[in-house]
Amino acid sequence: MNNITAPHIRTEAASRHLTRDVLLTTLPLCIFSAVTYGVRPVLIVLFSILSAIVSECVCCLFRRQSMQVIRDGSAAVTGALIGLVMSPMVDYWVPMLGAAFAIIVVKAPFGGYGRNVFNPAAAGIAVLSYCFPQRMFTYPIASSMNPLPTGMSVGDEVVTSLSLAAQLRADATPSITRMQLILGDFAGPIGATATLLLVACAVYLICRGTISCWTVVPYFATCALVAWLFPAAGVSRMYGVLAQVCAGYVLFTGVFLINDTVTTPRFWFARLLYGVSAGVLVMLLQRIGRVECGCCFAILLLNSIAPIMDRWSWYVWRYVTRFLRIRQEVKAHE
Amino acid sequence: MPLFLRGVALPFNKGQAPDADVLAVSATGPVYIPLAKEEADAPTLCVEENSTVAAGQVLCHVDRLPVFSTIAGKFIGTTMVNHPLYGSLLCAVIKPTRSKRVETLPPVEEPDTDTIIEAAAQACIYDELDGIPLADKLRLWRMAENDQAALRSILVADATENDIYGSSAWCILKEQAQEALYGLQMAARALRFSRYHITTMLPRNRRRALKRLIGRENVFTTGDEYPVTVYDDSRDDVFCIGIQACAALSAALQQGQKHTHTILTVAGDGVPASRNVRVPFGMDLEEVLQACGADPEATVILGDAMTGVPCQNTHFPLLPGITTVLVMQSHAVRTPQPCIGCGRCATVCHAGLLPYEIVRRLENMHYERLRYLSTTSCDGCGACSYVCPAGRDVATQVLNANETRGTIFLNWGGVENE
Ligand code: SF4
Ligand code: SF4
Repeated sequence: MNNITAPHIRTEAASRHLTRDVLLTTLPLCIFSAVTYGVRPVLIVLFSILSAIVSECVCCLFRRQSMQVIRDGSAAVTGALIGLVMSPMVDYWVPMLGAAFAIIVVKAPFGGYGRNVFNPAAAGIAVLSYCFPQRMFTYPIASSMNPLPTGMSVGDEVVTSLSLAAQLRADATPSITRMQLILGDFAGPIGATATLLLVACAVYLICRGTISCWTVVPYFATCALVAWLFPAAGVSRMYGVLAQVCAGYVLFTGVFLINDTVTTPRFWFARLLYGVSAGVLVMLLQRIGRVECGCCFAILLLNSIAPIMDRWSWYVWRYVTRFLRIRQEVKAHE
Repeated sequence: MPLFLRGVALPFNKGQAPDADVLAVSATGPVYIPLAKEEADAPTLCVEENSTVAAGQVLCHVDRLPVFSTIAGKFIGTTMVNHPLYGSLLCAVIKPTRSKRVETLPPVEEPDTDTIIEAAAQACIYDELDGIPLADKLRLWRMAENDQAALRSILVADATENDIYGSSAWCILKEQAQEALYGLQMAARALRFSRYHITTMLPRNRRRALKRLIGRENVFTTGDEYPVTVYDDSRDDVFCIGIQACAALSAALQQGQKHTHTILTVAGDGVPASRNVRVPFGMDLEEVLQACGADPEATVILGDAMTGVPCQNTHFPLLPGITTVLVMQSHAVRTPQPCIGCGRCATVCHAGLLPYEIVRRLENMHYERLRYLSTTSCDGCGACSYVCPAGRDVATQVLNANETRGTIFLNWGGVENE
């Protein structure tokens, strides 16, 4: 009786429904990739998820926690996100290593889901990109109709190409048409090229209330603005905006990485600031960074200041509105 | 900033109760009328022990306000009773008899400011929103003649009943809308306010019927968010009184009736059907529950589903300030998980707080930070706990933080006590 507290009715929504929504949206991305490259990308994502879940179980054993924790699905999401940004021809052990790192080093020591400071998926990807840039950033050409082999590693028989982001950085003129950009018909990571699908995922998640439009919209607006202000050499402005937003992980970051609720601010105004600063940083690192996935570093950097951003934007908002309200009241009583 | 501070839309589950007739339940066991907090403060009684009393017969005066019996019966004596909301109370015990004698006041012919407040005091009308005597509220808010502030003030009869189960206000609007409006008019006259209206949150068909009955200009419909914060669409000062109190004021002025009965919603999955019952104040809750066929094993919650207080035993008198009693068989108990930072609690908080941040500070014992987080603006509405997907008791914790601020902990944080 004593543990009964008001309210006596709760919403149906639970933490695991949020992660379930995110997992659900990764499904069409996997299917899209499977259609283009065969089953290999799906296996990559599955192995990555598996590795994340096993790591979580190991951590549970060490922390003497019940294994029930994995039911919240957060480990699976981390694994899936890491798997989705891999090149379709990467060796299976690469994402598995990344997922294990994300869970064992970035998430578990802080106390698990809900207590981690850094986004585990972003950290996993960042580490992989630093350790194995060669494996991560070599992409098979998407339009080759024959599926990739499913063996442990893919040999030289596959035609590879530079990714769009790398081409833009090298100031080369990409040969990809706008239509191809929109349809996702170009070389790139498993889940980060399907532009239309990613936009649909974002819309779905916003409608479900899983992610907040306070971060997503400012983020994309800032990215587009930066791309418009500083166009890549050799391409038209509009094409440049489209290409830069679709290239690399910019789109993927906007839909998944910056929306990990645990590591982002929670107050709407802070979310807006976070979205804008993420947009600026991501575009900056995309241009000048050494590796293609500057996004992950941008996210990790912002994660560290997210709590401060959250609090201070609230203080500012609170005091500004209070001041305005008082002035209004004074006026009304005059 | 209504754009950003929203509240939450609750799933209504009022059942058939608003349409069914109000069930009048009369007491068969003793009725307890509270007289004082402690035995030592017992007022001098104007009736003798074992004498018969009529409904409405004055037993004593407390702070110059009359305390009367709510039923006709026999006054047996006084006893101490434990009430989950008000603590221990010294109560007069009235045993019902077959007598139906009712004492009334003389109706007020031409009500003006003073006579209206006096009538509210003599009829002992309690505001059902908070259990405060209506006369006290009116005296507090009464404006001086020619006060400009009266022009900017609106008196609102709160009939929103923005709760999952409660429907007593809907019943009043269905059965006594005109009386309630008259009571509201009189209360506004007592305060010298020129503007007043009934704020509702009815579904469309009921709203239309109500507007046809009492006039479109007297009804204001608020959004369906919990908790209700918009009682009027202008920026003027709003003063709220309960709709039952309005109806009671009208009855007191026109017929001289004293406020002896209240309408109560008994709902939840522990009763066969939600019902609105008319019961005398002071009636034993157990009797009310039996009359509604409540499951004796179920948990009884005094108040609505969002803020109600669970009570261990149900043998206590029903006092003003309660319009809903829930009988719950199943109970939403979630094992709290770590905060996942979804920010929903901050989105729904009508006070614009950061509930998750307050809870985090409290858990990490950063008590000195609590004072920057405006914890005192929280009114315990429970919306944040309701939406939390991690199943945390956010609202309870924020209220705890509120208490913590004023205690020794403030010194622990190295901040001097102000
Ligand atoms: S209980 Fe307090 S903190 Fe929670 S929503 Fe209501 S006012 Fe805000
Ligand atoms: S609603 Fe619950 S999980 Fe979400 S931020 Fe608030 S406390 Fe955390």
